[in-house]
Amino acid sequence: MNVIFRTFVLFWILQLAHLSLGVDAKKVAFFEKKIRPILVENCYECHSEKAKKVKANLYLDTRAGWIQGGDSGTVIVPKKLGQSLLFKAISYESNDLRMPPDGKLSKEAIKNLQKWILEGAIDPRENEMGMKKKQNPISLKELADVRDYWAFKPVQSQPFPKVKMAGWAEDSIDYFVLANLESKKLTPSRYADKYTLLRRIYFDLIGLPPSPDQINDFISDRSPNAFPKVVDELLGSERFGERWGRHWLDVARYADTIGGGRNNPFPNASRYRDYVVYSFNKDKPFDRFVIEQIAGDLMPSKSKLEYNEYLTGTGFLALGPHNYELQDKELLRMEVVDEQLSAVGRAFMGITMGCARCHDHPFDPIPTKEYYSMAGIFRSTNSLVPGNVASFHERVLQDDFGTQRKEHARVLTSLEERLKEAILAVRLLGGKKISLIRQKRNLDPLYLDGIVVDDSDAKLIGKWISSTHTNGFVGKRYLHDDNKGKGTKSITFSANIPRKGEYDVQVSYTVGLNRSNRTPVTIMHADGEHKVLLDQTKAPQILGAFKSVGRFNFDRRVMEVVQITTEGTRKVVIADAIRLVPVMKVPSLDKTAKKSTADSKKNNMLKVQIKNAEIRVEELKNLIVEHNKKAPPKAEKALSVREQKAVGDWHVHLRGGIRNLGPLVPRGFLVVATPRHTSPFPQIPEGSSGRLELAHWVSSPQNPLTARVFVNRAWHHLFGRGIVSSTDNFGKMGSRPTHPELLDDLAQFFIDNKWSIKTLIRKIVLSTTYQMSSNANEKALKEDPENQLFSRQNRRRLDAEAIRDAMLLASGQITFENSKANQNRSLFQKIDRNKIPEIFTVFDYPNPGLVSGNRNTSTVPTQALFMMNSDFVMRQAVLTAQNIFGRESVDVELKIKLVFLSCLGREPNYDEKKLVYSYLDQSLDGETGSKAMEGLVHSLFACLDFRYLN
Amino acid sequence: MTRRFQKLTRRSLLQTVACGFGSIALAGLENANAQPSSSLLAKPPRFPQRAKRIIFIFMAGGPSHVDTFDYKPELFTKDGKEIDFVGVRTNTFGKASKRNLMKPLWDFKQHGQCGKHISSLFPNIASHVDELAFIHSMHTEGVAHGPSTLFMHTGATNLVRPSMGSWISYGLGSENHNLPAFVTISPSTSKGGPRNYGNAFLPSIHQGTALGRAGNVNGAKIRNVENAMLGDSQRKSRFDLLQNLNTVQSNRYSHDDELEATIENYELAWRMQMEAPELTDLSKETKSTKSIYGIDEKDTDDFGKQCLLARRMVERGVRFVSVNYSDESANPRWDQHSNMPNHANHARATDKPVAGLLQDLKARGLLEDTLVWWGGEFGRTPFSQGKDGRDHNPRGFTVFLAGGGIKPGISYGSTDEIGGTAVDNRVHMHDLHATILHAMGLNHEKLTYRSAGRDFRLTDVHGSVVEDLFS
Repeated sequence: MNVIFRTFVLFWILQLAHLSLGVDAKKVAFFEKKIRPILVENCYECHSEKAKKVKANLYLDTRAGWIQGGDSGTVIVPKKLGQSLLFKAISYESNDLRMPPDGKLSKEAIKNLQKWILEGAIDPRENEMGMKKKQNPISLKELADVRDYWAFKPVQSQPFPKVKMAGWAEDSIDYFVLANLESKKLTPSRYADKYTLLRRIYFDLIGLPPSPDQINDFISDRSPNAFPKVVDELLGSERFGERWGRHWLDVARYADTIGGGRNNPFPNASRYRDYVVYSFNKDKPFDRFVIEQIAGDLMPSKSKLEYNEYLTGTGFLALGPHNYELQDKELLRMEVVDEQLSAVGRAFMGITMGCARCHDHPFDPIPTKEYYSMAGIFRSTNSLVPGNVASFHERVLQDDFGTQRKEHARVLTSLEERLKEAILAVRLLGGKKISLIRQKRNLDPLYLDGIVVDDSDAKLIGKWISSTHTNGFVGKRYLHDDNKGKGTKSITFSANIPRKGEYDVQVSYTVGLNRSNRTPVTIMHADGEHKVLLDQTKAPQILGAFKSVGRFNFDRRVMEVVQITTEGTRKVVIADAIRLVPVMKVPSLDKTAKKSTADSKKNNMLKVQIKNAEIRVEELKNLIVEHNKKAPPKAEKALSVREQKAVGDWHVHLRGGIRNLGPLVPRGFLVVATPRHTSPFPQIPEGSSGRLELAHWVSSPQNPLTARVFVNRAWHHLFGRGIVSSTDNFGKMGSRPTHPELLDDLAQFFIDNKWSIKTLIRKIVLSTTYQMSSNANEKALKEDPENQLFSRQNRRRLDAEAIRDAMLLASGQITFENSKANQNRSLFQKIDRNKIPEIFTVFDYPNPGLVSGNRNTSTVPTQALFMMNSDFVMRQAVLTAQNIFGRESVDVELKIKLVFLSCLGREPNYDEKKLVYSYLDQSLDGETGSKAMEGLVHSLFACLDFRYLN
Repeated sequence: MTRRFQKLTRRSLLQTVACGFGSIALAGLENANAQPSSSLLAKPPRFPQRAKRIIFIFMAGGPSHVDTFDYKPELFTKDGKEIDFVGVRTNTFGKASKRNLMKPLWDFKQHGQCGKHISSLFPNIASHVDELAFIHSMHTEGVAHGPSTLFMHTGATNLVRPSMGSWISYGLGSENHNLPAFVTISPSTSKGGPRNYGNAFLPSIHQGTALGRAGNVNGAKIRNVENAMLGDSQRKSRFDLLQNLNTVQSNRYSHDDELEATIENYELAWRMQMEAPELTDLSKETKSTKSIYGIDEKDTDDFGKQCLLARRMVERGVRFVSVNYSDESANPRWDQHSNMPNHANHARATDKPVAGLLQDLKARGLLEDTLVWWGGEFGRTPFSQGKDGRDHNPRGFTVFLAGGGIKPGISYGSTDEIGGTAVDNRVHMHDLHATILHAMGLNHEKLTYRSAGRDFRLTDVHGSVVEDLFS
């Protein structure tokens, strides 16, 4: 490659040398006078040796520079204007490439450059020649440097530091925190009081407040084990997964709809959500959790259940918020790859990959080449179902009904075959019409009387879209015009008419409100043509599929009989099938029977035969109905991805342009996060994408990022701020750890304890550090106002789900029976990316299209308005008041105590009691008693101690 | 004055209640949003600001430029002629085909001092032509409604990015602390829906506040400012109990800015309850004002109300107002793939309200520093689709700007002789975004927000300001 490249350059230099032999001084003068000033003034800022940062690796300050070209290749081909990228750029004809970027050159300048190129691009700047080195990839020296950056160093276990207040420290965590405080001459805050601690641990572990009974039990339990006991109970509760699973769903950008230009649902996304909850409740080792989400479909499984679990995990890759109607499908494909790559990078490793799509990452050691090494893995993964509006994959889950389903289908087919024969038998005997079997979704043309012509046998003009969306069609599908290309499309049905006569012409369609109410249907019959306008918004009456368009005469021949067009229609036109039913004027069997006694005997026999055949048909129909009742359940599906049929390495996209292909790069990983002496290029088996290898690389204990990022997320959820406050970005633009040794201690602990999330959380919450009060001592407040050193717990605002669930719990709208999940909990609310529930948006629910490990906490007046006036809060206040104040035989003082316990997790203090009594006294004049109680609850829901965890 | 209050403690603030909630609200806001990025407090622009606020009149579906403002005499003479066309949609991508030109369905006449040709679809807007600046060389990304609508609002067809109104709210804040900085009137929930006014990764305070539903603005109110279940005295006594509890509770803790801010937000919310209902109450507008917007006339009532609401908002300091002529259907209003004559209905519904808005803004002296932007997500093809329709055209279309320091009575750039592709002085949607930010006193390259370790811009790495549009 390199040799070829050099040869190429040499070739051009020789070419130029050759050219320059005959050059007269005029052309050089022209360059000096006209061209060089343009280049100096407009291009050198970014494209010269002196540029602060050379853009696109392109140098225009030497001739060799433009011959060598930049990332997009050669920029000037002498005498060839069309092939000279530079000219394309300055002429501003393309949107993607316009130079100089801040404004088009003057017309004169463009004319001069044009002339210069056409005359051979004579450039005398030879002595200034010097080949510039390309940046990509990272040099060894640079690699050594970046490996030294804290986040890329291997995780190492840390010795405990020495501390003076050794009695304070319970856990290794406390040593690291205390040592830091002592070095700054600060002291930690006191323990939180029991009420505060209980409310904190309940919300932190299960996202719900303790009940008054649970509070009383904890307060009265004076044993030293009281707190660990509560912690273990909560970690064992099913509610734990509902809380911590939700944290992960933020990172997984979970939603129930796509949220692009068309906001179609993800019908099975909730399966992924439940999988996440289950994984946390089961304390699935985090490394396995990672592998399942990146490559669960490729993991060997021991059972159907395991297969389903792994497959469901890959929903992670499919949850991106794509605009599936993007018409440039190659662009869409790359957008999906980019989103998956970015999501994996941020969610698991806290690195941002996106920048490297177009250029080497400006801050982090992620060269474009490595980006496309990883992109090759996701390009080898099939994430899109093609279509005008493309779609995501849903894959069938395994169950115990596979064989049954096959067997059921086999029996059904044979029954249907027998039925067809029986119907034919009745017909052959001349019996009366057999009413068809109505299958679940469609009508089988075979069972229909008359001459049936399905769309599959019709002549189509224009683009018709095949669909099975609405039930009640004939055959395997119906067609619609996609409401596009009005007047350009038609469908023509030909029929083989066996007998001259009058026929009732019927057209079938599937009904819907978006349908055309004036669909033109033309009938071409023996006496001419007839046009009718069909209203397809009204349900067809005949067999639920057909509508008669009139009776017409037809001759015995093969001919075109019906044409449907889209002319003049405004809404969707449906075309499905037609049928011609002969208008019977045949004498009935009874009448014939009277003709003669000789015939009568024959007819009686025939009658019996027909009767028997008809009974047979009825029997078979019943058998089919019974058989279908025993049908095994439908196969369930999960949101997922597949391996691409053609897998392989992919090209670098120069400057991110999807059709601007650079060199092919082998599939692989980030060098900087791969241990020294280990190849970043895995052995990928033939026909595999490399996703499984990627999953193992991400989840490896040697990956310097994965364990650190997760323990930091856990810390963040328990303290309101991570040890690295930028939870999703461990790169240079992120923040540095305030306690690097503590972070490593936790990461090592996590790995050593088989990546057990519950063990990790238990360790953190049983530390003294976690159990401190959020009230700061004065010195700490002054010297460390932002609590960088964790001299105290952080006061934290509850998130949207906790605020909502706490109100619903108080009002009795959420209860947990037999520890089953309650679908009223916020976690289970459908997340429509285009319509997020109001309370969620008001309280900083993260954008479900973006990976988000660190929610905003805003303080805005819309929150105040919501708490003061929203129907939701008002209703919960009414119900809660009924719940508590409706109880008889409890005195008012006790009720007030109960309402404080329910809402704030503690009893009212002296000042609060005074305020409450004075409010009740005043209100009772104006409001009825119950209204005043509602007002009290309402105010408690809105007050500080409800919204904040102290 | 705000600076003085900033230093006051919560307790002394409550003692100064007699001075009025306004002062407290201001002090509260300043405190509440100590972080400039998450504040709505008015911020000085980066350089001289021509426009202080903006009204974007969104014509959803893509109005045909060749039938409205982009006069192409040759299209009349070449009616029915076959041309070569290279497809942009998935199933025709890059494929050449023959299409037949279709002449404009309406006549053009010259209007105003500038003599601009405008079709008979917009007689009222035509009477303001000397105030308008047309850009005929627009072109954009995407070819379906969803991607192009998102691109117009957020500068991205697929990735989740903040809406332009959110960027402007982030860059400039609000001129009125009791109202949101960014309001969108009657937005559609389809074609990207709330993503078109979403804050994405910007602080949530910059999200657009949606008012009313697509196609029906009647009764639209800012949420939660009224309370049907409680009388005034009940509201007041509950509010007093709440704030007293809050004071007692916050006194138990060491100083915490966030708690203070929460308390002060309640004061602010209390004041918003007074001001916000008035904002959407059109009953105090005079009959003559209503009539210039076409309110109470069948065809123009709804859009007229939207436009009048927009004026009330900019008048009260809302920074960015979107007015949406849209609906919830798969084919948005101006999307005439067939039956182009339908354009007449949409023109009738919008012409008078838009002209009324221009007239009203001018009469009130607001047009000088209010930028009005009229346009769709793309235009329509000069060739026919089916019998009498036109397809989407992202390669060339027209928008107009007015007020806010824009040169009046000009036409900038042009499409080819049939109106198919922008050729002269091409203006990409990114360029338009850059230009509008420029008018607002913001540099599109400097208005950045760091998210996930990267500085984002509305214009990504593109866009250049069209200086020629400014007087």
